[in-house]
Amino acid sequence: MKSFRIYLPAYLFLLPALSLFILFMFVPILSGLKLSFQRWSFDGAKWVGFSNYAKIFHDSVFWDSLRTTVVYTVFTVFFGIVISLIIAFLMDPIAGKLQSFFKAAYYLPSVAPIVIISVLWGWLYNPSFGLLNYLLEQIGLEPVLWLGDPNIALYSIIMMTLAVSQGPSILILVAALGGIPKDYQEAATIDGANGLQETFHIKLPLLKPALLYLAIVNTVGSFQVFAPIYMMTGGGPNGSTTTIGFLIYENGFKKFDFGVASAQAVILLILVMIIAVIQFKYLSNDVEY
Amino acid sequence: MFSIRIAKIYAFTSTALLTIIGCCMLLPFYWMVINSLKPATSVIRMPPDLSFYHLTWENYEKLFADSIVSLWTFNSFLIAICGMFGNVIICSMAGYAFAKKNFPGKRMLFWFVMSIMMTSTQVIMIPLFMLIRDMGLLNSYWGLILPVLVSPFAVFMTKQFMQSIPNELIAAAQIDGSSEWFIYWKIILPLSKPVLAIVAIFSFITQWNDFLWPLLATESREMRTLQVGVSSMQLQNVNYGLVLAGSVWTMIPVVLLFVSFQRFFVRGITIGAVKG
Repeated sequence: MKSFRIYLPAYLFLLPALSLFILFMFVPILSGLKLSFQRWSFDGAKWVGFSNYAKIFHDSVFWDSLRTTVVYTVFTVFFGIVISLIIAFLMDPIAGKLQSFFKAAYYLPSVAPIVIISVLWGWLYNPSFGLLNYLLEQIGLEPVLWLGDPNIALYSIIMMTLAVSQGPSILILVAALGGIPKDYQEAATIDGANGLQETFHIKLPLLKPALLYLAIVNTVGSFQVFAPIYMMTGGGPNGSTTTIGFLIYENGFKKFDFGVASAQAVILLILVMIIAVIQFKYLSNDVEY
Repeated sequence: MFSIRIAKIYAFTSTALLTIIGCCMLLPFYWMVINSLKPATSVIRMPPDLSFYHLTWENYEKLFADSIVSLWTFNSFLIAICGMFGNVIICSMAGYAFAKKNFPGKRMLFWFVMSIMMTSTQVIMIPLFMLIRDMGLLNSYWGLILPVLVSPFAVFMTKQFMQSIPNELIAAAQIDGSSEWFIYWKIILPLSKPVLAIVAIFSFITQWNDFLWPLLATESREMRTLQVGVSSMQLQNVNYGLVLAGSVWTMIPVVLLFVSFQRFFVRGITIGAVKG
C-alpha cells in the first residue's frame, strides 16, 4: 500500500493525457479493427469475417490507389529531401541575420493552410487563366491540362507538395549542417579535399541521422495524404489521384461503407508501420560525432 | 587567402540563388494578397495583374457582409485556443511525469504514447466519427475540441525539455513540504516556458489549419471552421475575389504568429531531429 502512495502522484499527472489518448486514439484504432470485420446496414452491424478484406484485395480500385500512394510518397519524399538538401547547402555558408531571414522566408509556405495552397495552385494550374500555361504559351509551347489529364494530375499534385512543404526539412538540415564540427572541414581541407569531396564524403554521411528522421517522418505523412487530393482533384480525373487516404474517406463518408473503409484504414496503418520499421532498420547505423 | 575568397564567392552565389528561388516561391502569395484587393475580374487577367492600381476593399466588404464568416472565425479561434491550452497543460503534466518521476510501467506507457504518433485522422476517421456520434457530440464544440486536446508530440517535447531541469530543485521543494501540484505549477512550469511557448504555437497553428476532422465532425454551416468554410466556398466556385479575400483572412493569424515567434519555430522543429 505504501508503494502505491509513492507512485500515485505520477499516475495522477499522467491520467488526463492518457485517458484522452486512450479514448480518442487508441480506442478508435481497436474499434476500427473491429469494424473492418463487420458489415453495416440499417439494422446494425453484422460479423462478416475477412470478407471486407477479400473484397478489397479483389478490387482494382484499391490496388490503383495503393500504386498512386506509393508513387506520390516516393516522389515527394525523395525529391523533397533532395530539394531541401540543396537549399540547406545554399543556406549553410550564409551567416547570421541573413540566414535567419532566408529560413523564415522558406518556411512560410509550410504554415499556410491547405485551403490557401489549393487556391494558389488552383490558379497556377488553371487551364484558361493559370500562370503556368501562360508561361508555356510565352515560350511557344502547348498548354497542359495540369489537373485534368489523368496522366499528369498526380504529378501536378506531387510538384505542388514539393514546392510548398519543404520548410521543416530545410530547417532541420540547416541545423544539422550547422552542428557539424568545423574541425572536420578544416582537417579535410588540409588533406587536400575540394568542396565537392567535402560535401559528399564528410557532410552527407554526418547528416545521416537527420536524413533518416526526415525519411521516416515524411514517408509516414505522405502515405496518409488526404487534404491536397480532396481540394485539388477530388481523386480524379478517372481516379488517377485517388490515394488510400482519400479512398477511405470516399468509402466511409460518400458510400457509407464503414466496413470496407475501416479495413482499408487497417491496411494503411499496417503499411505505414512496416515502412517505418524497415526504414529505421536499414538506414540507421548510428553516426557518432 | 585563396580559400577565404572562394568561401566569399560561394556565400554570394548562394545568397543570389536563394533570393531568386525565394521570390518565385513567394510570388503566388503576393498575387493572392494583391488580387484579393482588386475587382473579381482581375483574377483571370493574363499576364497577371500585380500592380498597386485599382485597389479596393470590395471583396472583404462582401466577405464580411455574410455574418457567417465572423462565426467561422470565432469557431476556429475557439478550437485553436482550447487545443493550445489542452496541449500546454495536459501534455506538460504527462511530460513532467515521464521526465521526473519513477513508476512501474513508465517505459511501456511512454512507448505507447510515442507509437500513437504514427496514427493520424486519416487512419482513425471512421471509428472516431462513430465514437463522437455515439457520444452525441457530432456538430458540437465538444466534438471538435476533445480529440485535439492532446498530442504525443507535445508530451515528447515537454519531456525532453524537463529532463534538463535539475533534480535538486525538486528535492529542495519537497524538503520544504511543497505539494506535488505546487512543484509542478510553481517550479516546473515557469522553468519550462521556452518549450511551452513552442508547444503553444505549434498546437495553435495545427488546430487552426486542421481540415479533415472539422470537415467530418460538423454538419451545419454554423459549426464550420474557417478552413472548412472557405474551402467549401472555393469548391462551390463562388466569386473568385471572395475566395481570395477569404483565403487571405484565414492566413493572417498564422502569418502574424509566425512572424512574431519565428525563433521558436526553428527550435521547435529541430528539437528531436538533431543531436545536441
